[in-house]
Amino acid sequence: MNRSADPAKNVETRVYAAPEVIPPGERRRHPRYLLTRPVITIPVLADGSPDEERVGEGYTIDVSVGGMSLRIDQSEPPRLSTLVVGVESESSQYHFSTVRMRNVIESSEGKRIGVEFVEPERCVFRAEQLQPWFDARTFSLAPPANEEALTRWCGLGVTRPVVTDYVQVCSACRALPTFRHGCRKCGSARLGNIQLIHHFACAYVGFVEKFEQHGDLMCPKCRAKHLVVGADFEYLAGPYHCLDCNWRDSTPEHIAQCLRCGMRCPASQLSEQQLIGYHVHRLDPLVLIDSVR
Amino acid sequence: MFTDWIHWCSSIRSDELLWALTPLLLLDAPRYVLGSLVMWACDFVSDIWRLLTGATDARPHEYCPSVCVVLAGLNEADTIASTLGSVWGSYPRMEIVVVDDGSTDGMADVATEFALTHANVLVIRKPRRGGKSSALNAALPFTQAEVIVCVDTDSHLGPGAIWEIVQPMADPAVGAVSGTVIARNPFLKLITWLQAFEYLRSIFVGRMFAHRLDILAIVSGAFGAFRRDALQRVQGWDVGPGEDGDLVLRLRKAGYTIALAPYAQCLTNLPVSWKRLFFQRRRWEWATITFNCRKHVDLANPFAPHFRWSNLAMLVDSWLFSVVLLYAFWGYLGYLIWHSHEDLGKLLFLNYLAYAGIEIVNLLVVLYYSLDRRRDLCIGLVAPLMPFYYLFLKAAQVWAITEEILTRRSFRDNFVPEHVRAVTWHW
Repeated sequence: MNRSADPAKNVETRVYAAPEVIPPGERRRHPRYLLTRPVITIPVLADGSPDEERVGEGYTIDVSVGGMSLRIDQSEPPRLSTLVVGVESESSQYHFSTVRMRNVIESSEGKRIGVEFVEPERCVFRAEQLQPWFDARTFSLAPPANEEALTRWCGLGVTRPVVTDYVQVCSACRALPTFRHGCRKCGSARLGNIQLIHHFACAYVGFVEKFEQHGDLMCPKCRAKHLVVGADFEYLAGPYHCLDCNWRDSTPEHIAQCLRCGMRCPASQLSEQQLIGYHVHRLDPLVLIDSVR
Repeated sequence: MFTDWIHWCSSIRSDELLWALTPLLLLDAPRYVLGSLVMWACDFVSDIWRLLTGATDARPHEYCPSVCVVLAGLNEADTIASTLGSVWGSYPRMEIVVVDDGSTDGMADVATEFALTHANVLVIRKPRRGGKSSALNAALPFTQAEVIVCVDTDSHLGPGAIWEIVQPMADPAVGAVSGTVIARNPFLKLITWLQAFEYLRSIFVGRMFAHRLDILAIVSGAFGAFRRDALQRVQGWDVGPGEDGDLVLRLRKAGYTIALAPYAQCLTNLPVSWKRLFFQRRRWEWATITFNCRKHVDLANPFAPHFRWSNLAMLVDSWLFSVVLLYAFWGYLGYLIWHSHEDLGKLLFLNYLAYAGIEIVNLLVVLYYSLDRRRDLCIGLVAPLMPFYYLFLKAAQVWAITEEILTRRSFRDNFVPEHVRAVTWHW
């Protein structure tokens, strides 16, 4: 059987020209397990959106690691080769997987459709397609690429929108910023810090330089020598001071600068953007098989 | 029964009466009543004279040095914003330094929020608690102001308090100025009411008298002003407890005088339980032994440099009234109980009435000087209960002094963190 590079072209071949006897090479090599569960099939259009008019219902016949056999209550089998199949779990929750139709077998009990699970990179609900993505042109986080199609999948109950994250973005242009410690007043990152020494015994607090005497530390107040850090004294960080505007503060501010428009402001003044992704209950064949065993 | 007591009183001889009123006549009358009355009499005559001559006593606030208000505290997130609000903007040449002594309740964050919207407010965070002295000292490298004003982080300044407290600094000999601390929560409980009246009596009026005699030995940690040069000369505060009193004695030793600004008022929250009051007073009294009797006993040495008779008088006042006569009081009480007789109840009642009478006199003196007579009169209504309150304080005093004399208890107190008190000098 020739496989075309374009899956859309294979649709006609596979759906309507399925051989009555499947060559051994085409059969599933993995052990099959009989399983009867309610199932829905949703054809996938070329743009990744669902074909809502051809949603089929039925039940599974068997399942293996590589694929499934389904019986669909539909007079005409789906035309498209790629389907999203939802199998109802024991908890009445549908779990979905992208499958490729392999054959359609007519029997006295009806149409039996053989499908195989597609490779992860061909899956309709790839993780990267469900999540917002970084747009390097605008330095911002964009919604999932095929959001319109995902919305339609939501309408069928296959996916649902979820808040995946909250990120701080520029309040002017919604682009992502960079962060640094800086001056609360002017935003400069050029900060200085003075170190102090607190001598425990006499409670004196002064600049480190005042304690330094010929390579040793001596308290300028009580003249105690050979001071040991931790036991006799501790270092204290004095307030930060800005080398640009001379502002003094106990802690530097988190300053943000927008990557796109360059606006600089305290991080607390940024806007918060809600990131919406999509969630789908994925079908795991091993779990299905495990439930049969 | 009262008639019996009257008969008993009229029947006792004058020498017996003197013996009966020994504690009053020895301890409280000369220290608090006579002094206050003499001071009042002088001021009364002076005021009458001024009234007759048409002179005015109102002095404008002419002296305006640069001031740095230091607010050092630990876990005062609830009150620091209110304190900052009462300080900020109350004086033109002022900066504020808040020192967070290792708080865990976000006090520094509250102060930083305030600093963001108010100019000249600096917040210093200490990573771990080092004691109040080091917190106050941590502010000194970051200010060039001429006067350092210390305010407790749970206190509230009265109107014009900074203006009032810096005026005595116009005299270059003055190294520190004591403000007046009054109750912020006087009517909360009976215990705060009693303390409120005690503060009026002993801090407001009592310090006026001590100041006139130049024996003022304390500048409250809650509200006091220090000349920066003087602070630099003595290198700031030493390790506490009682670091405020210690600093004043070191300033006096360095030759500075201590002034009083009675109308620079600071409202502070008073302890609301007897247990906390006991611990507070115990800490205060330890300082009498640690500093007045040990560390700075050289102030009484006439051959020492900067010796002043006023310093000697101050120490004698402290030794006599806080130690000797205190033990004499309890000795007398013990003697009375040991030699109990049928008239003991009458004798104690006589003493009670005499002490209550003293409090009435004190109240009148307080009201003469008061800025808010109505409030102070309400506080003074508790005067009849004051003898019992002072009995409690005297018990705390004698307990504290005895344990400090015998065991140097102050150096095991949690007021100073363990890593600091382990290496400091135990006087």
